Amino acid sequence: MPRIADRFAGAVVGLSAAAGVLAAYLLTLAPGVVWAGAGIDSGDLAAAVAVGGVPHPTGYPTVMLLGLAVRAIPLGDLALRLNVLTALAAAGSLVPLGLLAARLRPSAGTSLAVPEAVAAAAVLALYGLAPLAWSNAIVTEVYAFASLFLWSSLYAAARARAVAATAKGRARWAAVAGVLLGLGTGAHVTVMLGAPALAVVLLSDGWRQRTAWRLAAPAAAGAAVGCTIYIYVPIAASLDPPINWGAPTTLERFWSVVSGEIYRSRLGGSDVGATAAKAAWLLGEPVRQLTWVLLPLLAVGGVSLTRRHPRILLATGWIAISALGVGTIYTSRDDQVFTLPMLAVAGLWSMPGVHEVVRLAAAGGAGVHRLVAAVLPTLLIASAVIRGTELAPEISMRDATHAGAFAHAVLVQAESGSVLLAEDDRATFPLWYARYASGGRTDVTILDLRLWQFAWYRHLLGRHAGIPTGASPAVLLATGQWPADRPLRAVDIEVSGVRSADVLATLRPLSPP
Amino acid sequence: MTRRLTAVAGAALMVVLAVAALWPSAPPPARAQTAPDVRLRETAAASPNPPAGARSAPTPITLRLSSATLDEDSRALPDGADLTLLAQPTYAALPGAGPSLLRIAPAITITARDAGGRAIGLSPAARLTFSQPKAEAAAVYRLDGDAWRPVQAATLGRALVVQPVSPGTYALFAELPPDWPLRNDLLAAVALNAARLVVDDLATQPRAVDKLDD
Repeated sequence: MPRIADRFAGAVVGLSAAAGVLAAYLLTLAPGVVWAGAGIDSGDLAAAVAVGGVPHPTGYPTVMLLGLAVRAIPLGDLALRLNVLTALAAAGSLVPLGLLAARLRPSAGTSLAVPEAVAAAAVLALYGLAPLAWSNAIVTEVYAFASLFLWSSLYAAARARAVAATAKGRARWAAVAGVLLGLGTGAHVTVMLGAPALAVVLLSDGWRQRTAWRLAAPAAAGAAVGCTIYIYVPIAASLDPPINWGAPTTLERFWSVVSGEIYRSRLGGSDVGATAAKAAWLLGEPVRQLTWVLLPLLAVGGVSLTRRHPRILLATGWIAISALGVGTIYTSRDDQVFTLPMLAVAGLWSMPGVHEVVRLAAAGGAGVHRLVAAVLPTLLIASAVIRGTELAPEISMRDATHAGAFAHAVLVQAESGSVLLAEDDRATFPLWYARYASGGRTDVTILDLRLWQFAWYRHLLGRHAGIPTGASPAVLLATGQWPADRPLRAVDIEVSGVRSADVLATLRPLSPP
Repeated sequence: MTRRLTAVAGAALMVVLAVAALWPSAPPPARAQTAPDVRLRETAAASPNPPAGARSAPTPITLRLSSATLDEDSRALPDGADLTLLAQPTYAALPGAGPSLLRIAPAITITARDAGGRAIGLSPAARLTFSQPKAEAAAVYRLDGDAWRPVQAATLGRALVVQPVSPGTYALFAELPPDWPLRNDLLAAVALNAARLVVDDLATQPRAVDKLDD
């Protein structure tokens, strides 16, 4: 039976799973900014990249800087390039998971049989093909980046633990783990919930012992360095880009943006019964998303980790529970996505489950071992292929051209100098992207009525669009103070049901009552 | 003992996750968007937009009745006609026209009353024009009681023109392939085009329709 050398086992598993899911991601990739599902913020993020601006809180500086690097590549539509970048990040996040899982094998340190590697890669692919992971991998979103940095950080911490206590590489890996965690926080602030997990892994000598702090100190320093990525936010804001949420050029406004002040009211607020029901529902997500096939492997893997790698079990368990907690208490259109790390943990635990099952089969005799070694990878690969084939038509964003078409149609129809009033993410974000990324229709202004309540937004529009900001456009229009050469048009998106036929978009002229 | 405990813990984990996976109902989806949905009081009070939830009485949409066309047509109106025409989008639940037909624009209700509020007939030259989307078998239907009935409409370039048009509720339907992915966003751009409807020609003086197609 062919085998893979131990030093390559994790990379082979991670890269092969990543290659498989990347193919699925690219085949279903959104062609631009989208409205549907996970991608509703894609217009905001892509528009912010286009102008080097600050997207909605918390600013996502890591994603912005990676996006700016992609912007420099003159190849195709920017939104499509960013979607490809997101897909690469999502697929790439499987690599550190594969590397980490390889260290958790019962037989770590020995070569890995190819059928076992195939089975482990299929488990990882099942995580990558989970609807929640998949739908966030094919549009411009931040969660794939957060996942990539979180799991890379934990893998680096595990590497630090594995290096001999006297070796210099130990502190270096710990510092890398910290830097990656800091950068991940710049992709999404919830990555900072991985800090206790890192501490559990790095301080496994016991926090009272001085040697433990030889790892913790470089990790903390690294995290501090990684977090300096947030310097992007005030620097970008100071350049006064047209997409500049919160205009965070002062310390107070900077804190407001990076702490997500405008979203704090979405934390908690539900009654106990509703919260418990939501938690129970979210707790079932690993099985629903990764399929029932993985459930026994997850349990066996969990038991295996309890015996062999209790620190990793504790660290990853914390990540799963904290993700479940955030998903439960935070209420937003896409709050389910906060449980993505929990799904990754389920996939991670299932991989040692595969190896444990094969090990137990080997103990049962050569015949049983051969049978399991043949059946298990076949079953898991078949599950991944069937899962991918089943979900692809449902998840695919290939045909999701309508947000871009909508924005284009609106801008084409808009009269010269018009001010387009929007009060729906589906209107504002694609219009921002079409207005600022394409470079055309510089005479048109997009005005989001919901953001008008913020002084920074009124000031920004006053500077960039030269429109009066002393009162709302409606009031100015009603009192005859609205400039005649800036025709007001309301962009309405009506949703009266769940069917697409019930979604209507209109460009409605406004005139004084 | 430890082995037995961990085995029990593993089994318990499996049971808990399985039970949670079978949890009967998903939480209702939150509607909170990325931009905070707090509207300015002054905007809400003075906005010409219809207030949220006011679908039962939508504001008449401003059609292409303002500009030179209206002036020209107004001059052609007989003295004292004082015609009021409302064409308003109807968002109330309306019956469908068939299993494979989807309504892809707001239904338009046309009423015509004189200054005394009495219903009057429209000129034979009055037209209702829908921009035709790129969809199969696009057709205009009129609400007749609880059912939609197709009405005669001329195809002029990318427009479907109903002429003559009488007061009533009209909508554009189209047949879409059965494998059309039904997601909320997919038809909005089509609807945008379809909603570029034009109600014009209130004048008694007919004009050549081919010159009016936009």
